[in-house]
Amino acid sequence: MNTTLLMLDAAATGKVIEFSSWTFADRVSEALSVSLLGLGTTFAVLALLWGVLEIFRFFFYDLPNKRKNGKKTESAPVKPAPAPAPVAAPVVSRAADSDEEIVAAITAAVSLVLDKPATSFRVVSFRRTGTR
Amino acid sequence: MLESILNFLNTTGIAKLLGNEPVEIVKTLIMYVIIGTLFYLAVVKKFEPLLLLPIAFGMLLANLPGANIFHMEYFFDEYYMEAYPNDYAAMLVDGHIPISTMIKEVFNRGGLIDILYIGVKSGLYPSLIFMGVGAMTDFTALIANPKSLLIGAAAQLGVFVAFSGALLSGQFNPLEAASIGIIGGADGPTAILVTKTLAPALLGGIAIAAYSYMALIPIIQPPFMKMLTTKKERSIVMKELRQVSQVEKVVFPILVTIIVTFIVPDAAPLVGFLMLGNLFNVCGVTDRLSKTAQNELCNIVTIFLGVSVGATANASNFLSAKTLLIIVLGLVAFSVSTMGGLLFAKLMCFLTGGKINPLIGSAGVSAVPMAARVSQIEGQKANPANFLLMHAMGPNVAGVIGSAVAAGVFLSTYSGATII
Repeated sequence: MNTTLLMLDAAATGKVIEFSSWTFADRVSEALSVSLLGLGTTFAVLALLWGVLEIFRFFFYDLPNKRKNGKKTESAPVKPAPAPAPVAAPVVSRAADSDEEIVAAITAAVSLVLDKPATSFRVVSFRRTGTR
Repeated sequence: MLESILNFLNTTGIAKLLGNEPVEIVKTLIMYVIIGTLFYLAVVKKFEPLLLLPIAFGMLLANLPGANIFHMEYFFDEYYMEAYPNDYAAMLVDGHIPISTMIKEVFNRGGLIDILYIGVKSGLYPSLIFMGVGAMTDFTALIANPKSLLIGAAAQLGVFVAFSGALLSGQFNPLEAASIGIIGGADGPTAILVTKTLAPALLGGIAIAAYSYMALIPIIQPPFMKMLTTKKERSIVMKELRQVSQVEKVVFPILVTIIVTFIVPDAAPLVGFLMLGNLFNVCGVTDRLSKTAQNELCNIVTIFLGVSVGATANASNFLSAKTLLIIVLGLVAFSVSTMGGLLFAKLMCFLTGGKINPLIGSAGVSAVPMAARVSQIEGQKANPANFLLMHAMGPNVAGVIGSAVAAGVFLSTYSGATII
């Protein structure tokens, strides 16, 4: 290996490690400094990410959830809207069938879509689409 | 006629093998035994077969006498110093032979694997694989419980312990020691990116050690998990993770890229592509890109990466005391990283009044998702009602980011340095 040329290269980059002349103490010093720098940086970057994700949580999860819940509690005391008039024939009333589970599921879905508490409206009838 | 036959016989691999020194013949035969062992581990034992099999085949191709399809020397400055002594000084850019000159040499004189190896030398393959990993990885657990990022940081302890061990052994210079240390990150593409930049001559040994140990995680980690935790701790049932909003999922990869790159710019090729892949997956409008990154692209790059990295392990550079030491230090790196993660999770368990199961700490070593599965299995052994997988995925993916940051620190410290 042409050491002179290598030294010229090194001089060009400015990063020269004269490892052949390192003593054991130099190696210990390098090991400690790079390890501390490395572990410290890794902890610092990931801790910063942790902090940012907590802020994230507040703005993109807690706050929207609070707003949603707030809306619900605000609208709760409002007088229930008058029940919509039952749709005339050919609607098949299923309430009469006492299928309470289906009614509960539909009520919950309507509540979600309208963003209104289930107490503010009443499902009086429903029919399967496409079946006339 | 006889002359033609003799000429043909002289061109055969058998003639080339027998024409070597006896020591070289024995070394080549030992390499075949090692290659055979890797084939066995990949095919029969199913140890990381997607990578171990191409690596083993690359090793086989590189060690077949006369195949002439890989010339590692084309990727080292010293080759150009000897081959072009008069033009060498003019060839240098920033004190080193630029990759454009190497590519020219490869296309003029190289073999098939030389061409494939350009993707390793340029750092293309590790980044593309990271993009696939990002597209396949669910970061929800980490976003839901960001405290687990700290476990991912603690699990990088082995990286720096192995780095220090390698340096203090006196056998390796700082650049080689950093490449050995990064095995503890339990992340193949990261180890390859660091090694191809800092110590390309050790690439074969380091890649094989890294992937072998990753495959052996279910064997390496459980003894440390049992040694460092009590039955009571292992039985802790963790609270269900919260839901993560779509906005959080989409902003997360962009934010991580910005923060990490602002602090450790050298980690950008890894973290940037990891997060790009994840963004493809979560944004909901790039399904085709996400599928490509996860499947076709990742598979193609895996083949190229495996074969070309395997080819760097030839008898002359692989069969040495250094390789043996790399394997030992790699095991130290993995073990200490596992212990670092476990002990930090134990500390968090103590500080939170027993709300964190310390077993999720071992998953901080990266190796997604195998390390998280090991936490799940060990947790269920202690308490069959325990379901730790999603909780362990947090430290697991944090470990991927952590090892990329550690790699960035090594690269920023030593990249471009010349050892004299």
